[in-house]
Amino acid sequence: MEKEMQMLREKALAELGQSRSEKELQDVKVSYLGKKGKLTAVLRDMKNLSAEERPVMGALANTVRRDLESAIADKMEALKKIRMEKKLQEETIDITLPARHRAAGHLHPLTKTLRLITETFMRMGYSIEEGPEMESDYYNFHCLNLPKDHPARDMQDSFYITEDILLRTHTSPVQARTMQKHRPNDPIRMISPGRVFRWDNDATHSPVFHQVEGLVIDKDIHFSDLKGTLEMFLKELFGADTKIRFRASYFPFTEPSAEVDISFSSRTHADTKDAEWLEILGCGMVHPNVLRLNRYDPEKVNGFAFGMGVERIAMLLYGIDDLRHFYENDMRFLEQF
Amino acid sequence: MNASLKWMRDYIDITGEPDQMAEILTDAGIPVEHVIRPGAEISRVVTGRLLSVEKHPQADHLVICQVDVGTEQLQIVTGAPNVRPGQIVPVAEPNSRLPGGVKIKSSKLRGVKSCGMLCSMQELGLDPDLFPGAEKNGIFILPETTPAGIDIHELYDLDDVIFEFELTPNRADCFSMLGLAYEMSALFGGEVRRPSVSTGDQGEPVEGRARVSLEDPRFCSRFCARLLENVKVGPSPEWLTERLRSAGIRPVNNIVDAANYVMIEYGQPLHTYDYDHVAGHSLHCRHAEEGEKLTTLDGEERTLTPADLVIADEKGAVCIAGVMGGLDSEVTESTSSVLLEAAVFNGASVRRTSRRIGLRSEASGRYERGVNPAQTKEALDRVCQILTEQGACTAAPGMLDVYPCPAEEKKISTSAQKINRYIGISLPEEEIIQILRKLHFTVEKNGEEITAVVPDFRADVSGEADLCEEVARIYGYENIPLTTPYSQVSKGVMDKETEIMMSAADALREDGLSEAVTFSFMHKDSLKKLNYPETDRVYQAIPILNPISEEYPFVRTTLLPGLMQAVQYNMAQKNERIALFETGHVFYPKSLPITELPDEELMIAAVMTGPVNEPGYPNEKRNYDFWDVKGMAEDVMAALGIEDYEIKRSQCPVFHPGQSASFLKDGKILADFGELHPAAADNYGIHGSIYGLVCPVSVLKDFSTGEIRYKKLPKFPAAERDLAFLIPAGVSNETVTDTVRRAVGNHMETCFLFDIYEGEQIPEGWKSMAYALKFRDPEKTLTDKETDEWVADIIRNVEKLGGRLREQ
Repeated sequence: MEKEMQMLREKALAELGQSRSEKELQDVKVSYLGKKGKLTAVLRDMKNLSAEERPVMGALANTVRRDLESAIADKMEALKKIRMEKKLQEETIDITLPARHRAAGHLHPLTKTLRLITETFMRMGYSIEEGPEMESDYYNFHCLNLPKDHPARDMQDSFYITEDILLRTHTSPVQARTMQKHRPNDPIRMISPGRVFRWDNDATHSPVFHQVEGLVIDKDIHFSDLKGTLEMFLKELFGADTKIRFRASYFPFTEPSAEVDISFSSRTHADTKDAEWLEILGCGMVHPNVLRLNRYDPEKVNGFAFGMGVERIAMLLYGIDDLRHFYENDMRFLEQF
Repeated sequence: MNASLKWMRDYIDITGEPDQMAEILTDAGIPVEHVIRPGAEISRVVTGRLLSVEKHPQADHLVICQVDVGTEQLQIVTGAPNVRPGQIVPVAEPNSRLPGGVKIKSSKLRGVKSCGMLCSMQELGLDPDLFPGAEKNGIFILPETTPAGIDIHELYDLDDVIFEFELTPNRADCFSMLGLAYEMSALFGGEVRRPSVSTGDQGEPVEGRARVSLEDPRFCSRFCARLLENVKVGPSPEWLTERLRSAGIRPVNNIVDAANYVMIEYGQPLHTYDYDHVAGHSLHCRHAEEGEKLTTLDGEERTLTPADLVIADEKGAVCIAGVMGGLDSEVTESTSSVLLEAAVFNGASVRRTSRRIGLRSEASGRYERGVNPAQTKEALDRVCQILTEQGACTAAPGMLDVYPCPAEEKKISTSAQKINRYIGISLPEEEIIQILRKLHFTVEKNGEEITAVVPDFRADVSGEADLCEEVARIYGYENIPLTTPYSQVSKGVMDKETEIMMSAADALREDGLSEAVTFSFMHKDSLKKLNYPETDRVYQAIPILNPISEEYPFVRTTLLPGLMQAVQYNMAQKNERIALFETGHVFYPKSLPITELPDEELMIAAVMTGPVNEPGYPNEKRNYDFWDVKGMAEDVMAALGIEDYEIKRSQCPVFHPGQSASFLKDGKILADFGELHPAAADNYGIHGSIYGLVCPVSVLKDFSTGEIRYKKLPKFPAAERDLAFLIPAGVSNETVTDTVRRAVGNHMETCFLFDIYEGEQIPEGWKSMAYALKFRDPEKTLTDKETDEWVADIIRNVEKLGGRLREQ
């Protein structure tokens, strides 16, 4: 019987070694270990053995059974592995085929720039104010210390609708509107983004473009606050290594006035030389006349104002070399942002 | 304003390096746009006398010149037709350099040796307009008296450095050499030397022989004149014409040149009249009469209006004040006596007239910015001095001067503390006073108070803020510290329309649309192209008085024309997928022509055509359709928290009537969307369908809650059933789903269409609609019996609609 069992073991191991699939192996398992299996049959015959033989043979039978079970398990694992490898092999694809993209939409680079600017200022506590794009002479010029026939009006060629109504030439009228909306001398901290219009159309000027105006009024505002605020803003926008220069200038609505130039390397994609200064915004302390014209008292409060061109900033941020791209709306351009 | 540094040295000692000076001036608000060195690129160009000019044996259009350049004789071949023996010309010697990096070498031209080049004005970088009488084409022929062998640098002051200023309009003072000298003295130190003006007067005094008067001192604050006699009109000396050229002014004759010279020097424009052609020898400044005519120096007859300021003699206008003189009283070669005028006219008036007539000059530009009446007399004397020193005339003793309301001295009181606080610095008082004194303010101290007397040439300084600017810019903006403002405002807010616009933009972007920015202008033709009938409100557009082009005579009443133009642009670029949206204002007048500001409505609009996905493997090939744009409209509503709106067929004429819809709430249109009318697509040359969406933000704003409210997740399972119905073709999906919902009530969680089918196996006039239904009770698990009862109710109700359950 011992011999018989050993033979059975050898035979079973040989059979399962030859199994080529999990199914064949399962069949082998059933044919030996199943209810009607050959090993089971041998065990069933043990009742005929003597009392001395029975435990010995019983132990042997269990050993054989364990050996077979373990061999089957190993083989099953190996077959599974082969099957998996085959599957992986079959399912291998050309990873250099083009990817599938959801046709995503894109915000206009001017909007992205505007959002950057407004978010930066909102974090500093500035509110967003809006004003009409079609303005009266009163708000666009008069309230900003630019009476009729003022030579500085030449700095801005206007689109006229009537003698007294025009498309606003800057976002500055929102300064006047915001002051007049408040109780006199109430503090203000606002920016106003928007469209502006000038009669100019060439490679570097568009008749429609965008500005962001800023105005801060409070007790005891200093010119140094303006410098500090704009320095903080410009470094946030263009990077901490941005160099900033303030130059004396003239705007009818501010006194003192300054023009701000920046020079930076990290965020410009343009091939600009290191020390090249780029004009980026105009600013100054709100002119006492502007405060007075809008019912604020320059003896009690003062403030600063600034204005910047959004196109200019977007061009610098993204390295855009042609202003006209902004208004052509070429999908190939828009989809880059 | 161009200023020669060589000329400037008459008034102030300049020692600095020009580029550095330009930078300091620019930082201080006196911007130098360019530092011009006219001769920097020129070397080895000398004057030469043409000894002979002979034909080239091999070329008809070339000549061979023998040129004496002082030290040697050169043979030079030239193609210029205007050379003759005896002429003096500029000669670029061998190995010389010319502007633009041009190098001249000895060479052979058609077999003949040529040692150098004869130069034209352009080749030397000179402006022919500044050399009256000189030939513009060909070689620059110099005056016969010029000796040979002189370096061109010496002859035309090419070693000079010229600052080209881009001055701001407030600094009228800097539009003169003296004004700039004062500014430079403040920035670089050094005393200003004013010209010492003296005139050796001769003959009878002017009083009684001429008269000046003015009508209104608000328009002409000062009017002065002097009489020049024994006038010999001729060319100016070279030093003077050279200086005029450095300022970009064309020399004319000694009289006009002297007046222009003094205008550049003092900033005071002057005018000259032929004394014998001034009727009654009387000059009166007044407003023109309606329709009054004057033929100006350029030969044009001008019709004037009462808004124009003129100088008139006893017969009528002889000069448009500050703009241009009259032809009849012009100083000519036959003039023997000249009435020389120096006046101060109202800037705004000169500006209006010069704009209306379209004549802008050095003089009108200075009047517009403001002329300093304190210098008027000195400027007049200065002209007399220059001319009498030349022997061009004698000056009659005395001056006519009408100055009814002399300008008052301006005094500004302030304190060091106030200036320091305004700027945010802490300069010692002495330093502030020193800065102001450098700027030629007279400063007095009285305790804390500082009183500054403004120099007469600084009309732009009138208040404390101006003094702060003066201190700040001389102290240096770069030296002012960086601080942050104290503020009582601590929180930034955004208005609701902006928020809505941003949310809608984000929703559309997520749906695959890219944002366009188009002009706010339009042409009414594009409204027709879009299929708007002429009675539509969109034609109530506001015209622009001075449109940028014929394409854009109106401000827009809809965003669609701009977007359609962008679609066309993209089609021309062969971009297949075009999917754009824009947010922007449209303008509706309260009445036409407008008398008050119009209503500005913020709109959102979108257009899309072509494939939904980028072309190519592995993307699904599918073009935009109605369901895409409907989905976008719904996404916008969802993004804004707008719910419970109804859908109706759109009445908007730009859309295909059968494939468009409106979302409405309380009868107000939230959105119109669908396929654009095929006629519109045709008009724009679009093959295939194009879809559009239009939302007025003002309506969205009224219904937007912007809220997200959490709904509890269900605790009990849902029961699900799929039902397919045969429905008459004319019954809408909305009707069926409403019927289904009504049959079940609150326990109907969702009911959505998952298949719609017409065709084989479906009778003509019918459609198959299959719905997935989900029933749920929040409090318990539903039994099959309950669900089956609802299904039976649903079927009964659908049958009432004329439909029936499809056999499974």
